[in-house]
Amino acid sequence: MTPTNLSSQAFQILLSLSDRQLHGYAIIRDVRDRTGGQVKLTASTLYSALKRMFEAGLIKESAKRPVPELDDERRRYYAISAAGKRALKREAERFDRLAAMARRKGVLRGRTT
Amino acid sequence: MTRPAHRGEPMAVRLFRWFARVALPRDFYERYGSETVEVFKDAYRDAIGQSLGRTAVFLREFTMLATTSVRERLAGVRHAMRSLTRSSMKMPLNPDGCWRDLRHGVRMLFKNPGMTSLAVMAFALGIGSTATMFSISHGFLRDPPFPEQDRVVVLARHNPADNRIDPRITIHEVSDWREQQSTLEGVAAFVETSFDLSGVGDRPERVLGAFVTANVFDLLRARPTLGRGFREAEERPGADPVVVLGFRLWVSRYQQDPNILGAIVRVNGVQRTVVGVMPEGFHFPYIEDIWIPIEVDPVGVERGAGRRIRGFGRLSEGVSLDEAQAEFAAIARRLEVAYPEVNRDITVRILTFKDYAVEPEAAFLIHAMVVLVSFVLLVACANVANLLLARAAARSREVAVRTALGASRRRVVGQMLTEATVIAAVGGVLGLLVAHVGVVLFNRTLADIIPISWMVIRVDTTVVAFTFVLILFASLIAGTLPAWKASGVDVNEVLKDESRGASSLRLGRLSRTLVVGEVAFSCALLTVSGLLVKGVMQTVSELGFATKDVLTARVTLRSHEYPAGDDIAAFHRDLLERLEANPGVRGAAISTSLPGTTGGFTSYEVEGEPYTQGARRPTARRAGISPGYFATLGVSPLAGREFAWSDKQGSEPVALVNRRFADRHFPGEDPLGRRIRTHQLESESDWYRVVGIAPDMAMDGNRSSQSAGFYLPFMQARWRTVHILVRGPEDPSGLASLLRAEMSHVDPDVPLYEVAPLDRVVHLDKLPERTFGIMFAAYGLAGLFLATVGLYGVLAFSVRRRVKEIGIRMAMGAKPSRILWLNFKSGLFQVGTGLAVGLGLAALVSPVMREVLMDVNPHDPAVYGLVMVAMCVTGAGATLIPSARATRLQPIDTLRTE
Repeated sequence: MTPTNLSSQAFQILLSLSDRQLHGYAIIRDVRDRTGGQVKLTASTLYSALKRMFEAGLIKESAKRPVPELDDERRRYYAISAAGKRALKREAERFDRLAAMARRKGVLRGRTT
Repeated sequence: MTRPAHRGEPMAVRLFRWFARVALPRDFYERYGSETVEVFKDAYRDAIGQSLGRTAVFLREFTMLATTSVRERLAGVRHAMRSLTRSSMKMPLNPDGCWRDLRHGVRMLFKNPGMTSLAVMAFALGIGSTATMFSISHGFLRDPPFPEQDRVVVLARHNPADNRIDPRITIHEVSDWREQQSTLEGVAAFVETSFDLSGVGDRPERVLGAFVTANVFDLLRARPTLGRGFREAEERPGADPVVVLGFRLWVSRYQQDPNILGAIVRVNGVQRTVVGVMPEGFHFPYIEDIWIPIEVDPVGVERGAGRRIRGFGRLSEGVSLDEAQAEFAAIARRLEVAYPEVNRDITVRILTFKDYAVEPEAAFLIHAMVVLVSFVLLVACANVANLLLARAAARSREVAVRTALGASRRRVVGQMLTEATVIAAVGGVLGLLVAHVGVVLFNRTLADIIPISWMVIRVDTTVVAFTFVLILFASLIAGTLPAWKASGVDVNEVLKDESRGASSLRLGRLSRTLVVGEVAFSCALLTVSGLLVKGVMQTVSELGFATKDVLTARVTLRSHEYPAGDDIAAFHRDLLERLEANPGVRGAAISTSLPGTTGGFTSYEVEGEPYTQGARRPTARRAGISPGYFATLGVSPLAGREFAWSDKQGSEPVALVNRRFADRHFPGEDPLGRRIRTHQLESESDWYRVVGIAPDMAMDGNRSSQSAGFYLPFMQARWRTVHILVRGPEDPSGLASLLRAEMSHVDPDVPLYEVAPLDRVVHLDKLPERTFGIMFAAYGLAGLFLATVGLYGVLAFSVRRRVKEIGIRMAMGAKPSRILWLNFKSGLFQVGTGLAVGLGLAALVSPVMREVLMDVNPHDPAVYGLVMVAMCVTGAGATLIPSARATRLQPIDTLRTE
């Protein structure tokens, strides 16, 4: 995949998947809780994004299904891929650089790296 | 259709699933569809605690699903275009420009949520109503499911003198045609009926089936899944009795038994060998599931007599309908010469099978209904156009500034049209939901009683495509006017204008005209719906006889067990007397058709009246009844006597006429002692002496004044299929077991079917009219609602933009009443004009609907008056509120605005 910038939805989804595998609705809840309700995904936007990310190789379908009794045939779990991890890291670093620039110009307060 | 696995899910989830399936691209749905629905389910379930809760989640998820669907589909298109144009130099269109317009449009719409949701709702109602009615009409007018169905034709007798087409023919015509014609692949015949089906050890059952000639399956190009069709020898007298089963019957009754071929089943008491099973979905002529060869024996039957059947065939390769028509006309002329007694003045008319199944008049009526319902959409368009105009006025400065800064006129028009399209698209998607719900409700009430298998009513791809056209149409109609108005502004004038641009756009007259149009269309719609509802109410009004505690059932006596009329009469007399001996039974009788439902009718002659040879005779309803019929229904004859068991075969034929019949033929005279006879296919019955006058008992189901009719004693004819009526104490359902018990005492082998209380039978008979009545009432109210909102919106806007003028008038000493009147009269003028145009339109349209109006005068003054009052009241309300608001303005505040 060419190193273009991730959309904010894709970034949030990758972030949710960065440390565990989740199914669709769990991703929506995780993103919502983490952003304090600022990023609200709906069922259709989520899968539209997942489809794109899947095609770009950022995520993969998980074979593992964590808790057997909660497991549901219709639920697929998604996991971040190596490429996804790289893209997420690159994007986070980009934000970091942007934030640093903003700080140097005094737009953001805080410690300068 | 909902799969059983999803039963019990909330309606919202089912709607979401359905919508995801139609809207999302196929590959997306297949891969992610069920997960998407699962996630929606979870979100919907968890939404209880949130603000606004489920409604908010539902709306957000639906909107985003619609957006995502469009995006995913566009992505597919873009992908395809890119691969197409990769080598060529440039894209002809600039998709980014369109995309920017779209985004800008959506943003503007979200800025003004009140107006946007009003406009979306208007379109949802308009498009939804039209799409619902279209789904229904499209379902009714589907092509019959036979290969090359437009070449399958029905051959009917045609009397050019009175242009009467009669599809009832006899076996003689079939054999004459077969001998003489060459333009059809073959001549076949059918007649639909119902059969008693029984076999070794299983319950007897009544099934719909048809007698057919051996060649029907070949002519229809239908091949059995199992076994074979009929052989030519099997339609000759004395052939081995055989039967072909329909797929559904094979599954339901014989569990798809592959060894069914060669099995013996009893059909109407005759042992028949199963020789074939037709494929799934094959029904002929309409919904039938079992076929038996017609006996083609022209020699054994007198010409003009015998069973009435229908003739049909398939046009030969390369032969047109007109060529076949010409040949059959020539044959008919020869037959007229050879057999003048039955064929005088009769020619042959060839109709396509589709035109035979749904008469062109009925098809026209169904189309007329779609056109009528699209009035709701027109009202909605006018409404949205007005809303957009109002906003265009409010934004004319923005537009003027953009034009001054160099935005092209095309760009500005494009922007406006884009907004209208976005509104129409969202409204259209919601409208599709409305249509889906409408169709589900329609099917829930009526699907079971639609008697033709291929008339499936659902929201299919054609309906979706039609909705798409509606969206385009609606956005063009509603978007063009404001776009044109807003783009044509004189920049200087607008920038100088202080009344928010409205006067420089000269909006007043245009939007008032639109409101007049809205009022007119909704008024026309409301009037026609009012007429329909009145017709329905008329049919369900007082019938004048007992229905509540009467149980009915049908019974058929077969000819080889009960050959003579006297045998049939004896059977029923025995049964009725046994029934009446029970203490709970207040009366029991036999009738060939049930009162309060559409009965059979017949042509007749009255003795002493002149009739010209070959001309059409008058028709009336006719029923065969037993003694005790009137008492069972709680009425008694108005004059003369009832039938008695002594009126039997061999005694003088007698009849009772109803009051309408008496008024028609014997006004001011005594009908008793006069004589009438039935008249069919140039053959007459004996004369019946009128011995009594019966009250009018809705022999046509109370549909029209054509309910003149007469009764004959069933004992003097040979009716094999009759209705039994038993009147019990209160609840007739307990009578069913009693009836069955008495029946099995008389003859245990005769099955009882269609056991139902009379009031339910009467109710079912009226159900189609009632359903259409309710639907049109809903459409009428939707139109009224939209027109009222439109009127209110325009007046409110006009008050707002004249605030300064009103302020000055008040400052100069104008009284509030004067201010009120100033605004009120403009509203009244619009309502008045719209009303006049609308009532005129209704007066033009409603005669077309005469067929479904059930004897309601298409210019019924009560309905027109009521509509006028309703329009005036709602119109005055919609006018008064903004006008009153104007009087409460404080002059000093008004001068401060802007």
